[in-house]
Amino acid sequence: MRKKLSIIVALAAVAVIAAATVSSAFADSVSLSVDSCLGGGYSYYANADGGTYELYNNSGCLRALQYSFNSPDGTGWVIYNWQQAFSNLDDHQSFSTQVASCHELVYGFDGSGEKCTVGN
Amino acid sequence: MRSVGAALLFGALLPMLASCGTPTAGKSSPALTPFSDSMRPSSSSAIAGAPAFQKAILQDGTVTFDEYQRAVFATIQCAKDHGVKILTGPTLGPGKKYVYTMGGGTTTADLGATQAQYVNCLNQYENLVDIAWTNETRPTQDQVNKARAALITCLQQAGLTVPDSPAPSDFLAISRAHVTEFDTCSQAVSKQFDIFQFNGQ
Repeated sequence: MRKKLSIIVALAAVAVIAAATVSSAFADSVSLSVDSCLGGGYSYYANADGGTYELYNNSGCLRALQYSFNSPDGTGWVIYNWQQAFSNLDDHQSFSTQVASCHELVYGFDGSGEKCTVGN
Repeated sequence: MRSVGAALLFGALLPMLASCGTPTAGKSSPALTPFSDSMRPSSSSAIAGAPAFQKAILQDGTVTFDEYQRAVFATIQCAKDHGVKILTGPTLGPGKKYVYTMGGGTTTADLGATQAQYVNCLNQYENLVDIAWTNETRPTQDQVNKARAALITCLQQAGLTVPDSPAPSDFLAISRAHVTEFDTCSQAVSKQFDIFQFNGQ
């Protein structure tokens, strides 16, 4: 059964987001981590079956995002540098479309944010 | 110019999140509780707790591009010194943000080890500076409005139907239904207005 991915929010208007990614351009294995944000209310939900996605007012949210993908050419993992960004990443193709393809979410509050790994 | 202290509130909250946050599976309700002032660390404490390299940059209350660049390059050099291979970049992109890639090995264990090494360098040289720089370079509402209009025009010219006053959910729907067109327009508008990955919001 395909695993559902869900993500949530919310500790006193501090939203914690997790996500995952599979880029059609990058083929199989991709991981993406998203750190916390501060701003308006935020709620996020997606799953591997196409799921649903909800976004509330979080235009003031600043958070860090980073993703990596396992190159289909066999050379291994390619890591992008962490980026601080406002919430406009949420709906961006490189984020939301890939999130919908995520099959497994690995939660982790070890300071590196939550992480979702696909294809492993 | 926006204050470093205010921007650093975001970063300074991360340990707090780590200590008290627990993700919940399933669909959630939005959290709309205003953030309590009593929970906010002071900006001075955020700066005081910064590693020396970043503290020297942050203590005057602003971050310049040169300082941001110096922080990025120091992170990269640190990563290299610890065996991390830089694959591409650093390339300066929209929003005056650097993008680069690193080799993470061929296994998830390799990936984790490289990530850990890189994050150590990031925390030492760049993270708080990056937060402040992002806040400094945040687009104004006027810039966002103009970029949004340009994105709508681009999408329409690509043959897509866009509501008169699209909501974030409209942009989301379009981005998911027409990935290539949306991404092409997003990249073009991001570059034109110098906004990092603009998507209509």
